[in-house]
Amino acid sequence: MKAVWRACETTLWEILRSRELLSLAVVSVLFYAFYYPAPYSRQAAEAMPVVVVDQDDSALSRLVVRRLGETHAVNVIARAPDVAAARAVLEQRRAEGVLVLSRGLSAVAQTGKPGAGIALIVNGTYFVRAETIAKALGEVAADTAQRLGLDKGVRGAASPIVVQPLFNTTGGYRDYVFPAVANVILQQTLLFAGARLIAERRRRGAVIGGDWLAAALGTWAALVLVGVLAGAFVFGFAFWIQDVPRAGNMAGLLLALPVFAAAVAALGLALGSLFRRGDDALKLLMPTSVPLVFLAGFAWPLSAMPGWLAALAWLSPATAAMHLFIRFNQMGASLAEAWGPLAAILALAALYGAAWLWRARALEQEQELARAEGAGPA
Amino acid sequence: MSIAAGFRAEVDRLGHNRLDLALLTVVPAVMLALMAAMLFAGSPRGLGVVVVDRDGGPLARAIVRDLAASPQLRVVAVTGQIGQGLSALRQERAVAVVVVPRGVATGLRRPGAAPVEVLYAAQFLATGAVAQTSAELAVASALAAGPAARLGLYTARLPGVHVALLGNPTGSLEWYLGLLLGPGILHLAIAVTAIGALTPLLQDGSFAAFVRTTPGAAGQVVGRLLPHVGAGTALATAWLLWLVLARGYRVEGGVLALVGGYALLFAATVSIALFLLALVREPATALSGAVIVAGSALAYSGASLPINGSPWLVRVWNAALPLTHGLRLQMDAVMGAAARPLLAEAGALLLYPLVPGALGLWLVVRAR
Repeated sequence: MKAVWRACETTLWEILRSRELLSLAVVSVLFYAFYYPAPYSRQAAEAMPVVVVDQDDSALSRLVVRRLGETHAVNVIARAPDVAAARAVLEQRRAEGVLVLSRGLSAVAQTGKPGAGIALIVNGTYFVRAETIAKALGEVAADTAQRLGLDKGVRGAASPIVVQPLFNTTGGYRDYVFPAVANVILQQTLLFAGARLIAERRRRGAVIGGDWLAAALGTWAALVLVGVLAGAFVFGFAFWIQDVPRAGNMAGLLLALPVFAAAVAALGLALGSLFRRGDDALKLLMPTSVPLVFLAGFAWPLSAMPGWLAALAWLSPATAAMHLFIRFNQMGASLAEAWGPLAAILALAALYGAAWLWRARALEQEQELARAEGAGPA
Repeated sequence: MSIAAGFRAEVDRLGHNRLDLALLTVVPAVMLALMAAMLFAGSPRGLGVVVVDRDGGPLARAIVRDLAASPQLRVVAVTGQIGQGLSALRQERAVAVVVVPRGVATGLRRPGAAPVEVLYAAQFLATGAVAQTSAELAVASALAAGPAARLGLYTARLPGVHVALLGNPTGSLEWYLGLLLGPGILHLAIAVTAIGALTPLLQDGSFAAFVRTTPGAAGQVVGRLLPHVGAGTALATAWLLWLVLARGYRVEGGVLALVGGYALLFAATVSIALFLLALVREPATALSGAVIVAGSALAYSGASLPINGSPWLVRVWNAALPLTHGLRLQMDAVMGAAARPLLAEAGALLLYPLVPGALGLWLVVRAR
């Protein structure tokens, strides 16, 4: 036990004394916890520029345009005489959409006969912008229709369908993206640090000294400690100071965090042991960050992926973490409700832990062989 | 001459370094293939929805039928208890819960009557929004065919809003995400390989030995980076061809503008990589810098959530990152924008070789 503690202490000092390791394991987490969510701080798209072609020029069409311009989502930047002129503004990229209110709109709204309508032409390559403009127009149209209905004496439920976002109750973009991506940030920083640590030790010929098992366990324990502290910082301080939905199930979070850190640390050590230079390990692992975010099922659900790909995605601890920590932090899930990803992260910790111990044994034998060759017949 | 020599030297190095060769070819190709497989369904389908039926009448059953008929949705349970529905959300068995109130058929005639509620898991916003919209449409369809509509409750309405999406007429999530992911993944991958290409030129944290012993050192550096620009452009073009030819999506503007834009983006990428390594003269720190610049560039690009209205620091960083301009150029070409905005973004991308790239070269050659 003392040997394990000594190895743990040695590893912690090694991280603190190495600028690269300290930067990967500690400074990166502190930095990314605020750097990554910053562009999403507004939570929603706002003031999307729209050009209006009002061919009806009636009280109703002017009401629709005025009310659309009053929303946070849309900014009516210009009026154009016809659709071609408005599209030219769109193609010059000075607007995101064109609203066309066709001639006879007011009469059609009163009589219900076909013949006129509202058209929205939006740049569909930016999904969120297009969705924001269309949604705002839909809400204005529905609300205006409701007013018209009341004016005509039609009565009933104010709105027969009510939509309510849950867990991220404002439907905010930062509160959707950051809790998901935070898991990948925590994984990648610890993974890079673990892989570089062991690859550099191998380069120096100083991977495992003395009792290989104690050294392997101590090194692993040190990285787990770093991972737990990093997770506590992100899920605690960074979420709190940025007012991200959090702390739905603290007990579950405290139970799962060390298991996640253990899985990631062991994976980093096992992968790093395959390299002889820390930079090579980083070069291979760093480009995986973007695909791992998306494979974790945050923007595209795991259920919509092919089965083999979803299974592959679960090999990344961040996938299980995303579905575990979001349930605990944001959704307030009980242990029973988060059992699936909890079992997955436990299995990964066991699998990668075994892989690291196997690699540590192999590295010790490699070192012994190198020593024997070095001390061979002169 | 020295550029050609640098190009040959880098090709030769890659031929002898299997890891670096794989990082430039197989690894990004595999990552793109995984993304292609992920997006292959086009749009998420069969998203779980729980119906909390507090009515049990014919209209409630019609709502369940219409929800089940939506290709985007799959009714995983019909229950009378809201608690069961919420638990299904927390277990991610469902992404939406539709609550049908008691007396839904007759209650809608009364002012202040309980509405049909669509609750969705906004923690997974992209999926939740698809489920919410689909559920809302299904419920509206059932209500429109129900007794409330027959009684004339929904007669007062504006004519339907017709929406046309330029550059993405079907509103495909695959096309949208594909256009972001291809350049986003390759941007980081090429930044990393470019640092790997220049790392062997460092000796004891200095380029001095390389500069002293190499005639035309600046040209050599440029030549060594060119294979990375070529590989990035080729991979991005292959990714675009996959989306257009194999998956059937359409580019409204010129494909040549897109390919030229990719070449400029990767020229900008290697320029940033050169600048970082020349500045810190230490590969691990330069790689960390590359992750900061390229790894989070998608978030800062404004291609998902626009950054107008964000703090000035975010807007400045958005404008400073090459991926911002690369994606703008790409998206503008896809939606068929006029030449002027395309040229403006191309001009912005040209600044990276001219400013950080030239500065990086100067830092290298001054090490003499």
